[in-house]
Amino acid sequence: MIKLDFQDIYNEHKDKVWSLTSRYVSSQADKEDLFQEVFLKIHQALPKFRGESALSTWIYRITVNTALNFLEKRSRQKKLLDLLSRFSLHEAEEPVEFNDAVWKPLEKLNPQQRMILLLSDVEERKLEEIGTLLKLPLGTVKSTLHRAREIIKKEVMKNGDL
Amino acid sequence: MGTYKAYINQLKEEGTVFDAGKMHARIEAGITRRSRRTKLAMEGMLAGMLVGLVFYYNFYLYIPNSREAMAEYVFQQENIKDDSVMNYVFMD
Repeated sequence: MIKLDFQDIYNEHKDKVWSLTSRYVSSQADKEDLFQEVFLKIHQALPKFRGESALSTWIYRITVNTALNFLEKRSRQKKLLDLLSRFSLHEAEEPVEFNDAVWKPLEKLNPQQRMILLLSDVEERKLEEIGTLLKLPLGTVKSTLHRAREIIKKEVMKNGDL
Repeated sequence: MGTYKAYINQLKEEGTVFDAGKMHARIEAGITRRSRRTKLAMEGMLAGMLVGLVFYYNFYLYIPNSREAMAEYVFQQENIKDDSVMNYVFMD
C-alpha cells in the first residue's frame, strides 16, 4: 500500500494543474472552481490510488476528466439560466470581463476539442499521451486536433486582432 | 500559420495568475465541508435504519395491522400451509 501525503501532492502538482485548468476556462471564478474541484477529487480518490500508473499521470487524468465534466456541466447550467432569464425567473448575468481575443476563439470549440488543442499545442503533450489520457484512439485525437486548429484559425482570421 | 502561432503564444501567457494561499484555503474548506457532509449522510442513514427497524417491528411484526400481514400472522399461528386458502382470504 502506497502512503501518499495530500499536502505534498498539492505542493508538487498545483502549478501543473493550474496551468491546464486556468487555460481551459475563461473567468477567474471558473478557473478557481475547477482547480478546487480537481484537488477535491484527488483528495477523495487518493486512498484508492494503487500506483498502477505514475502519480503525475493519474493526477493529470483526474484534471482532464474533471475539466471536461466541468465545462459540460457549465454549458448545461448556462442553457438553463438563459431559459429562466427569458421568462424573467432569473436575472441575466453580467458578462465577465476577460481577454476577448484569446477566449472568443476557444469558446467556439467543444470541451473535447478545447482539451485536445490545449494539451497538444499549449501544454505540448504527445498525441499518444493525449489519446491515453482521454481514452481515445490516436486517429480520433489527430482528427479532433485538426478540426480544432481549423476552427481557431478561422476565428483568429475573422477577429484579426493578433 | 503565423497568426495561429501568435494566438497559441498568447494563450500560453494567459491564466498564469495563481494565488496559492487562497486556493489552498479553498481546498481545505472544501475537504472539511465534504467530510462533514459524508458524516451527516452516514448519521442520517443510521438514523433512518433505526427508525425503519422500529417501524418494522412495531407495525409489521408486533402489530400486524395490514390485511396481508394479519393473514400471514394468522396463517403462521394456525400453521396453515396451503397457499390457495389465500385466494379466499383476499376475495372481495
